[in-house]
Amino acid sequence: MNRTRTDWNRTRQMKVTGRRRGALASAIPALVMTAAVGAGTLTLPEVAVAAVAPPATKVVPSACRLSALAAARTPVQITMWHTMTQTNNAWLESAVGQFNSSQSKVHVTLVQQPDYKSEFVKYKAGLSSGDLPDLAQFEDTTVQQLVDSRSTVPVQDCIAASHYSLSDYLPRALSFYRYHGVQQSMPWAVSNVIMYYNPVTFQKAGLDPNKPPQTFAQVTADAKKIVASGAAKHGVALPAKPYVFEFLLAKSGGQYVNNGNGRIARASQAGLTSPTALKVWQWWNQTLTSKLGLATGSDPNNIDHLIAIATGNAAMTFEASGIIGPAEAVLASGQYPGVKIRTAPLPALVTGGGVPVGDGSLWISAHSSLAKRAAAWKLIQFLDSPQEQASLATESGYVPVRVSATRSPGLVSKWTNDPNYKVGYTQLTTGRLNNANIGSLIGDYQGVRNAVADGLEQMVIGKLSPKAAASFAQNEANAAIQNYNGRIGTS
Amino acid sequence: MNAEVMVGWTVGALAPGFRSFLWIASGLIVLGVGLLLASRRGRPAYRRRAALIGRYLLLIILAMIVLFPIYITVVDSLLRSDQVVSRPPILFPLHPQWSSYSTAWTQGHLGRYLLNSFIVTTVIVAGELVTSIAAAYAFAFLHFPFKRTLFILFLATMMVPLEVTFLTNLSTVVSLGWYNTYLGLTVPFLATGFGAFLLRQSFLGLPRDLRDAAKLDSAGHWQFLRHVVLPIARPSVAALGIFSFFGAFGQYLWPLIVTKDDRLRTVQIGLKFLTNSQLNNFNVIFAGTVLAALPLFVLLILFEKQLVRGLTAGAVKG
Repeated sequence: MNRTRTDWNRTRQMKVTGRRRGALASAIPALVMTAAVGAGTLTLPEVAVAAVAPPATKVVPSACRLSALAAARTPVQITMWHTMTQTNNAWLESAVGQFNSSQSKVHVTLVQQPDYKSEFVKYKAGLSSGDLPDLAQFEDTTVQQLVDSRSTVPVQDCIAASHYSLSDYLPRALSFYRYHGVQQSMPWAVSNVIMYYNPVTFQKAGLDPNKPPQTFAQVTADAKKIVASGAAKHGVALPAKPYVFEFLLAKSGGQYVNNGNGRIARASQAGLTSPTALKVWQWWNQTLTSKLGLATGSDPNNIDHLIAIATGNAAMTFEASGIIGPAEAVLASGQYPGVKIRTAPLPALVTGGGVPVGDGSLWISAHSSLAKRAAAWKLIQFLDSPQEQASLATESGYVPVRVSATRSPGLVSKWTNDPNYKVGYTQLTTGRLNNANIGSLIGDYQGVRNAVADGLEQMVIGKLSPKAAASFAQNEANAAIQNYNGRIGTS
Repeated sequence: MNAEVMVGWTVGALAPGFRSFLWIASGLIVLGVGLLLASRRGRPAYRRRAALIGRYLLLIILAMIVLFPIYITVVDSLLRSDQVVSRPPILFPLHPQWSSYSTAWTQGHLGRYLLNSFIVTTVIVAGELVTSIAAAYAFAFLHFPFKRTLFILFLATMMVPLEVTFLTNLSTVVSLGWYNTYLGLTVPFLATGFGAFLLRQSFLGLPRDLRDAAKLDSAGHWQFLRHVVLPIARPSVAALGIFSFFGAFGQYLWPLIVTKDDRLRTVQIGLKFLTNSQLNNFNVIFAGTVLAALPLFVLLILFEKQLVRGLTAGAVKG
C-alpha cells in the first residue's frame, strides 16, 4: 500500500544514528524502539543545488533531445527509484522486465526505496553525493520543492520534443504536476481519498447500502440511525490525518493555501480559516462530540479507522483508494467474519465538488545525460501507456491516468466484478477542475500538514473549539509557509 | 518501524484496558508510598520490612512501565494479526504463532540485513575502541605540546551536531570512492571525541603511582596499557563498546544514504521495508522488530554488569 504520505520537512526530526550517547543511556529501557528507529535526531541542511536545469517555467525541447538516444550505440543504462511494495513491486518488476526485453535501446535498473519520505531525503542527499536516479517516483507533496531545487527536467520538454499528445490523460491527473503551465512530471501511480463503508451495518440500521451519503449532513443523518439502531458503536471513524482533511476540504470547495492553492503565485498563507474550511472543522468536531464519530490517530501509517470498520466500531471512514486491495485481502482471509467493505466517493459540504489527485508521478533528473533523459522519457511513455496503466490499475487500487485505459478488457471486467476499484477513477473525473481541487503547491507541505494535524488534535481532545483550532493550525501553517519562502528568498 | 506508530499504536491498543491498568498501578504506588511512610514508625523489625516491601512495590511498578512495551511487542509478534487489534488487548498468547518469525525472516530478507548490520557494527565498535583507547591513553599519561588545546578540540567535536557534518561526510565518502561500500558505512564512525573523552576520564582515575611503579619495573607504555590500565578500566571500556554498538546498530539515515541497493542495506532499513510491505500483518512487523532487537538484548544480558558499572564509574571516587 502506497499511501505513506510524508514530506521532507520531517527530516528535521528524522530518526537516525545513535551517535548521541547521552540519549542512549536513557534509551536502554526502550530497546525495542531504539532498535527499530535508532536514537538521536538529525537535521539535514538545505541542499544547495546548482541551477543545472533550465527554469521550470520555460519549455526547452533541447533539454530532452531524443536524437541522443537514437545515436547511442549500446543500450543506455538508466536507474529508476520507486516506492512500490508487495504486489505492486512485483507488477513493476515484471512490467520493466518486459520493457527491457522488448527493445535494445534502453536498459532499466529498478531501485526500491523504503518509502516516499526516505526516498526524498536520499534524493536530496544525492544532489551532493551524486547518487541520483535518472527517473524517480515522487509523491504529490514534493512538486514545489522539486521545482525549487531545479534538479529535474520538466517533462514538458520531452512532450514538446516528441510531440507527445496529452489529450487522452485525465485533466486533473496532469494538473497537479504542472507548474505555471509547464508539465513537470508525468502522473503515473495516482490515487485519491475515498469513503469506505460496511454495507452490512447500513442494512442493519435500515439504510440503503446502495445509497451511501454524499454530504456531511447525510453522513450525520446516517450515523444517527446507525448508532440509534445499535448496528455499530459509531457512525463514522474520523482519522485525524491531514490528507483526509485536505481531500474533504478540496471537495467542499475550500482552498488549502492562498493564491489559488499556490497556482497563481507562490502561496503565502494557509486557507484553514476560510468560511468553507471552518465548516469542515465544525462538522468534524460536532460529529465527534455527539459521539456519532470515532476519533482515530493522525499518523499516516495508522489504520485504526479501518480496524474500527472491521471490528464493528464504526460503519464509515475515509482513506486513500490505494488500500482497497489490502483491505479486501484482510477481509477475504476470514479474520473478520460478517464484515464487508464498499467504497464510495467522499462526502463533502455540498455535492458537485471534485478531488485532486494524490500520490506518485515520474520525474526526470536534470543530472542525467541527454541520452539518459531521452531513455527515461521512453520508459515513462511505456509506463503511462494505456495498456500498462490498465494493467497497474487492475493489479492495485491506483487510478488509471488515461481515459483509454478504462476501455481495456482486463480493467473493464475487474471493475465489473469489483466496483470498489472504480470509485477512485469516477471521483477523479467528476466535478469541475478548479483551484480548490487542482492540488496545492506548497514548499513546506509537511509543515502545513503538521499544523493541520496539531489543530485537529487540539480540537479532538476538546482543548480548542473548532474555530480556535482552525486559527491555531492556520498560524502554525503560515509560519511553516513563510519560513520556507524566506529560506528560498521569495517572501 | 516508526516510533510514532509504535507508541501511537501501543497506546491505542491499550486505551480500553488502560484505565484499569492505571487504577492498579496507582493503587500499588499509593500502597508502596504508604508503606514507606509507615516505616518511620513502629518497631524496628516491622519498620525495616515495611520499607523493603514498599520499595519493591514501587520498583515493580516502574519496571512494569518500562518493560511493558517490550513485553507487548513480543506478545503481539506471537498473535494472529486480527488478535493484535482486538479490544481489549490480548496480553498473553495462548496459541503462539511462530510462523510470523519465519515470514519476517524470509520475506523481509532479515538474514542479509542483519549480517550487514553485524559486519558494520563490529567494525565500528572495534575501530572506535582502538582509537579511543589510544587517544585516551595519550591524553591521560603522555606529555606533549598543546595537549590541553588538542583535548578541547576533541571535546569540541562532541558539540558539533551530526547534521552539520552529515553532507560533508557524505561528499568525502563519495570523493574517496567509498560510496556503496562497507568502508563508507563504517569509516566515518571509527573515531569519536566522546570515546576518547570517556576513557580519558576513566584513565585519569588511576593513581599516578601505578605508572611510576610500572616504570620502575621497566614496563613500556604498551605493557603498562595492556597489563595495568585496561584491566582496571575494563568497565568503562566495555560501556563504551556497548554504547558504540547501540549507536552503530541503530543507524538509519546514514546507511540509507550511502548505500545504493539491497546488498549493503542494514537491518533498520530492512525493518522499514518490512513495515511497508506487511502493513496489515502486525504480527510479522512485531516479529521483525523483535528479531532486529535481539542482538541488543543478547548484548545487554551478557554485559549488563559492565554497563551499569561503566555508567557509574567515576560517579563515586574510590
